[in-house]
Amino acid sequence: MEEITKDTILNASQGDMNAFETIYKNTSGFVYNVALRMAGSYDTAAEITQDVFLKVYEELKNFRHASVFRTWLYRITVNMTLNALKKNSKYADKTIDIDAMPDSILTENPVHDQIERNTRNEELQKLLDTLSEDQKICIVLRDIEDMSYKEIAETLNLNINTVRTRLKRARETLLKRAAGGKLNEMH
Amino acid sequence: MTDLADGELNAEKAKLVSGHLAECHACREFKYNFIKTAVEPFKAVRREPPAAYIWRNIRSRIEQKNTLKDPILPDMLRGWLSFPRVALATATVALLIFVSVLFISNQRTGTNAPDKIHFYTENTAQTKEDYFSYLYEGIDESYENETGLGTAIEELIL
Repeated sequence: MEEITKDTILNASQGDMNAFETIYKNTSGFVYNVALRMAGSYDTAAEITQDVFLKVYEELKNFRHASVFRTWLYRITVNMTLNALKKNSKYADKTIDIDAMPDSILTENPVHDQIERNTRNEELQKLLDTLSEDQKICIVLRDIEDMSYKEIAETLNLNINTVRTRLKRARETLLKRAAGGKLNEMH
Repeated sequence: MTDLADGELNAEKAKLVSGHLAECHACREFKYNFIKTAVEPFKAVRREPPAAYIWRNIRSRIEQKNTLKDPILPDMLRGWLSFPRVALATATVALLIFVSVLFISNQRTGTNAPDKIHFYTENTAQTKEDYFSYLYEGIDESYENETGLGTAIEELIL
């Protein structure tokens, strides 16, 4: 992800939509993928992504550069995703329903033509859904978003050892599921 | 094992674990299975690009919000209206109290008219008749035949 300059943030906070689009282009991949893996639904991920960026747009004027912009945005993303999943029934759908996706998504994301890959992703999503939300977000940030323990701890506002413990427990759960034969079918 | 798989072990511990793995077949096998089943599959998940319609929606919702917020207000007026509400409310209450106090004090000086009583003396009256008619103003007839009360001054004092 390209670093976003202070000028870009300042301009966006003053209503410059081109600057805000730059921020969106640089960070939407993270927001969308975290929401997608946490919610397990393309529609829900799209909704959460929109809500996150509307919130970011509103809050940009309050951003004081006390923290790194990416960390700030990651926190908003993770908090809004977890809150949305916990509190709002409109995000209750937890399945990836390819038939229900708008045509625009299917045409704009060629990956959805690859049925094999989708099946694999769906299986992995099912595995992820066996984890608690606390464990799942750690796995998503670590394995899919490739963040370090320190970055995860900063994003989730946790002690680094708590992150370590959650990852350890998550992987123990995944190993148990694998021993039950779920993963063997994929390899 | 988690720290090892994630490259988060410090150099000293990493050396220790690697030394053990070189000698222990069971641990080597465990490490292989651990990474193959609990780590690698998720690292291989493809990160999906968000669809273009998401940005279009965000942009249109922001523009819609901005239009609803202040359709025609100039910047200066917008600044005024965005003045903190608490400060505005406090200033309004203070102004109301000030106006009320001013109004009440004016009412009092108007109705009691103490200056008339103090300064409307025999010397300032044009004639004695004026003076006595002033003193007789507001005489309560019920006092006339009793203890001599009944003038405006006496009633005021009592």
